[in-house]
Amino acid sequence: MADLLFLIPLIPLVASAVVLLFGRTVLGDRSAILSTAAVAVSWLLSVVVAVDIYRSEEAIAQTLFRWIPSGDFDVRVNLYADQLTAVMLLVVSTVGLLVHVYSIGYMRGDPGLYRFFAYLPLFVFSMLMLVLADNFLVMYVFWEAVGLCSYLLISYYFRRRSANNAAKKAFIVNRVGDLGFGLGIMFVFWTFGTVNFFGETGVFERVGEAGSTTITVIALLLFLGAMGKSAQFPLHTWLPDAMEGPTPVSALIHAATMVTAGIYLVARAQSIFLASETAMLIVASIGAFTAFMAATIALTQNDIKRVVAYSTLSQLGYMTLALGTGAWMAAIFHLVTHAFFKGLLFLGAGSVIHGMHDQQDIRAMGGLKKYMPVTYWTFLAAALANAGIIPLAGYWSKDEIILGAWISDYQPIGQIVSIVAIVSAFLTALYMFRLVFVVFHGRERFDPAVVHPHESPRVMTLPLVALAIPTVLIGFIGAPPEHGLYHRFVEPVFYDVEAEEAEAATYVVAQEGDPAPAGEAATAADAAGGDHSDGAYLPHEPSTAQIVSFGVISTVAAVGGLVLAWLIYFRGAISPVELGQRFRRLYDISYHKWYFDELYDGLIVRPLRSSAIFLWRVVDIDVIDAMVNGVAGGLAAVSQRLRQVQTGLVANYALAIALGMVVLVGVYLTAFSSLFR
Amino acid sequence: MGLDLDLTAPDLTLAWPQLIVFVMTVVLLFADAFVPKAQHFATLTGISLVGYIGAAFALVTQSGQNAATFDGAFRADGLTVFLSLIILVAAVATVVISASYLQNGEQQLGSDGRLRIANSVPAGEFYVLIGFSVFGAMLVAAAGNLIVLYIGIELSALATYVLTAFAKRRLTSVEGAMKYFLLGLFASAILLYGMTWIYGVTGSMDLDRIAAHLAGTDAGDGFTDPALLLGLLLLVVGIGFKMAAVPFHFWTPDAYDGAPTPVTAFMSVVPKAAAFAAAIRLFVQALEPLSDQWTTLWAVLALVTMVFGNVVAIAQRNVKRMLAYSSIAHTGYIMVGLAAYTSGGTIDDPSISSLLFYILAYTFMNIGAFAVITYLQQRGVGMMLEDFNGLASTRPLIAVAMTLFMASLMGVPPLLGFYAKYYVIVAAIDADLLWLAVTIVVASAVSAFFYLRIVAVMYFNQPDGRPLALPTRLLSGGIGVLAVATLLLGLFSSPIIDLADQWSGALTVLGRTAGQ
Amino acid sequence: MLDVGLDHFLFLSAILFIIGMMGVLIRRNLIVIFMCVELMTNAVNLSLVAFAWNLNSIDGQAFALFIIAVAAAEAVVGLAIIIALSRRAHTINVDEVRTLRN
Repeated sequence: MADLLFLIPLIPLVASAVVLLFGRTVLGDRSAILSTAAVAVSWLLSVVVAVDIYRSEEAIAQTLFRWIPSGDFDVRVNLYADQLTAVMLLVVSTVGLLVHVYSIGYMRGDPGLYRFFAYLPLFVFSMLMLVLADNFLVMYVFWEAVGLCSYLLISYYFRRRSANNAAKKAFIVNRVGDLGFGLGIMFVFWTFGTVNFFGETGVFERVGEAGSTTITVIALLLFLGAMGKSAQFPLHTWLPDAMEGPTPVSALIHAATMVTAGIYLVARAQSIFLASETAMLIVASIGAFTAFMAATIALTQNDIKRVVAYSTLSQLGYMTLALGTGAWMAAIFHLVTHAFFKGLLFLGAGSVIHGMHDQQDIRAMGGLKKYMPVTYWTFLAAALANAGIIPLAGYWSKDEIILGAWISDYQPIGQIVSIVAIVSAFLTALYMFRLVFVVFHGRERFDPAVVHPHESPRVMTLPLVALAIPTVLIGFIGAPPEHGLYHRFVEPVFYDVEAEEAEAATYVVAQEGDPAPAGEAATAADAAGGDHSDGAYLPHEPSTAQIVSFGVISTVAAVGGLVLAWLIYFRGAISPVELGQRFRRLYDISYHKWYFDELYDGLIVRPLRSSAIFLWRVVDIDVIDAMVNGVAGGLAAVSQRLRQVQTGLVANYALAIALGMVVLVGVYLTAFSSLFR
Repeated sequence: MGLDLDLTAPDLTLAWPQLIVFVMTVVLLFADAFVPKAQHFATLTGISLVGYIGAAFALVTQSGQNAATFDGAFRADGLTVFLSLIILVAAVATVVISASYLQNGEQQLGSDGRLRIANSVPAGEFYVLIGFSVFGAMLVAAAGNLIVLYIGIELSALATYVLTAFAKRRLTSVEGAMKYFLLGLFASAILLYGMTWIYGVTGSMDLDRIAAHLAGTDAGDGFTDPALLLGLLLLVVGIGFKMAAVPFHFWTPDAYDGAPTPVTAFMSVVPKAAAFAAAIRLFVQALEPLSDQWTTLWAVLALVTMVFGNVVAIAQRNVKRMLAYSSIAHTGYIMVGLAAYTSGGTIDDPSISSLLFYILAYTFMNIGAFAVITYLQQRGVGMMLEDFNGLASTRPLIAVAMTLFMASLMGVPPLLGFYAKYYVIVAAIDADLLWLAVTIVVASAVSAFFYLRIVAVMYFNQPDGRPLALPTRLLSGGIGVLAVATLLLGLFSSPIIDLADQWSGALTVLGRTAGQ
Repeated sequence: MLDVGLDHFLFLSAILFIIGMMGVLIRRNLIVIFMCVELMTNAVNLSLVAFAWNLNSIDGQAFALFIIAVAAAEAVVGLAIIIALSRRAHTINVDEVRTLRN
């Protein structure tokens, strides 16, 4: 099986190249079929690989070639797939495949179709390579590559100025994060002399060798990269704007896969983060803040895609806070469930937009349930999942995050973020069902004479249904909490099983010694054997009571949000306008997205622009350009002179050879031979 | 006189790649006369391609060999294989890109605005001459003594002189050939004189025995024998001419400009590869003990060559001439590999492998650039900068390919040319030639001036609206393959450089053991 | 009686080589230049044979024979080029053929 690993990314790459070369001339609309088929093959192979890893419980690796051989700096392009990679492969290829199928319908008739179906598999290739990479440098290359694909696809409608601006914004904001990631890699190489992940000489085995400050710096720099890609505060502003791209792109790249690359990076570099409490604290705080902030913004937005985008931000915040509290498996679990239900939400939103003739404002919708039943029911399922209503997918993973934070080693931050997460869960349910009720129920706020809402074609609804199934069911791979199929599969990546057995004794003592508040039990366990720097880390077993009580708490929060939304937007018991007036200040902050765009504009963009103008007008034109032009002009003049040497006369040429010979012989014999000594 | 004649039969299996090319050439000679006109062109093209590709396969089976036959006159070692492969790649590329030229002849835009054929070119003779030139160049790569080296160089050069004059109705073609021929003979005489002195001093024609003799007489304080140094210097002049090193380069612009474009593509690579093969055989293998003397020489020549080539190229508006000067500049870069040779070179010495890799890279990108010019010549116009106006809008793919070739020649990462320069620079730094490494970088920056001008003209100017023929399938395929190679081979540079390393290492190690 | 030794041959050969070279540099008639190059080649041949005689080795003579053969081939190519040139340019004065320059 290991021999076939390279085919998984290669096939989409080939499809992309073929479509790019022949899409416009030869293939035309068949480009879509070709790309989709390629991703389908990739998906099939991913499933086979995942099953293989599940059976053997061993990682598989494949060496492709040496990329940079340069003294000590020896980088190879290897593929590596363990259980974590397998999960990512499945998510990327499954959502990728469904989005490809959906796009066949969504993009039909678009003149740039072939471009779309060249970039999309290129993205799938880059993303697959990113998760298959076994060293930081290769990962960085594809980290940039997915960023490039994202840029290309956001600006897909390149005639729209806003799309171009959004693409540039995404690219530039990501640069900040990527700079951190790049610096982090340099630090890693500087510290460990290698950029490889695994093995005896790999970075992850040798984290203990580095000083705690160094490790903290590395972890924070890597996390800066993750913040850019996963749109965490304060680098979050690009993601909502990225919705300028076609909706399938939003579903695949800006909800399900690329934005989770940051989560994947932190999870992959688990041992580095474990070695730095400071880094963990920052990760958890940023995640919690992002989760809360994005949820509040989502409450007041009117663009259907933006609401979903802020919801994505918020869910990414959940994943990040889970990482920061050491709930690794919960983070990745949420990544998986989120990929499905958020992908479905986006595709559903796309279907609504499609059916409403490119209308995105929810104030101009309403009562669409009867026009597009399939879209409605699938969207409803996804909304329930996103809101965390039992037993849909989102419930299991979100509950695990909240519980994991509460009982984690990192206190008091763990319990604080846990409470923030519960509040955000309430808000999540509120904004999700605001969307559902406003869009699908109530009065029809559009002019039926002008707009004729219709259900989308089969090729679009089919992926909706296909995604709805995992949205409903996928949570059960994580049930019962902490002991599901998923946990057994992924566990070996995050927890050193042998160390677990060795330390089991101390753990039991801690449990028995103080069975009451989970927080204290955690600190006790920490004191007993909690040396985390070697990468061996033990999960806390939550007691049944904790599982049940947190299940109840998060359900209450979610249902509370749902009921409130029902009261406001369905029953009309509370007027949203009045609420907005009442809490004018809060409403404004939320509606204006906490004024981050304005803040960045004033603090960074304007000063930069004016200094750039100064540099351009004065330094560049008057100094540098003058110098460069002078040198260039001088060179051109010298060149004109020198070409006169080429007289066209054979005799002169022969003379040059003869003179050259005489000079060489003369100088050399005088200087070096015994002739003149 | 005790003549020591060794009458054991030569091991022909070692030479069969070369023999395949030779037999193929003879077959072409007969086929030219006997194949009926209808299938004439296709048959001859087919025979050529099959011959070269067959020879390449035969070469591949020899990788890892390190043997000699014909009493040491013919060597089958890593260097032979690597350089011969480069030469065969160039040969295949030349055949592919010259097909349309041979079919249509050379066209000119008449006063009535119509294309007319000004020079028809006999395909058979063309292929035969290419075959002999390739055979000669392969002999140089495989040479084990001075005689074979000289015969190979002359065989390769004589065929190229004739090819240069192939558009014999066009004065510039004949004029270029005349200059190339006269100066070539002149330089050959100098080269021969140098060989004679080396022979006289060391008493042997055999390269390994020359090295052994010199190592035996090395008193440790350097070589001061004027006769030996004279021989060395004359060899530098002779080989420098074949490489087109400044100030022995004057034939290059005129001959490149005059020759039919496919021939220019061919002669910018194959004779140059042969010249560097001869340089490695002569200097690294035979005169290895004198390396302190010749590395300085090559370093100075390399500096002058790359600066001069790049600077003069700026003033050219004729693209073929510009590429001629550019090829002079690239000779300079390649020579850095020789200059960076550290005496008693080991496997770790990156100099010769960087040189070999550079020639490989140069082969792809340079033939590619000339292939695009060959295509444009179907418009029946000259090869001026203006002829590239707006190519990006009329033939976007060809414009992309040309952009790739130009960027690669310039050394833009991650293209092939970048890696080639990178390895040469690393070799120069390893040999403490920092000034040379800096010059490479500066010279490359200067070269952006004229390479990018072509790109700019293609993308920013308006097309002139003159008719533009479709490229033949063979030509566009050839351009495509060369462009892809230019784009991707760089990423796989490390296996290639490993091979070059292994082979040049084997060569120098062999030279040292023979020398002890 | 003077004993003719290696040095005499080498000296003569060097003189011939230089005469040939000066001829190439000074003369303008293509055919004469070509003959001067041949003179240089023959000077080399003389050296080679002298060395071989001195070293008691056969290699030098063998090389000289090869050079003569190659020179014959060169003459063929050279004369063909000269004829082609005289047809196009109606001259064999090298100074008058300079369309390719700069």
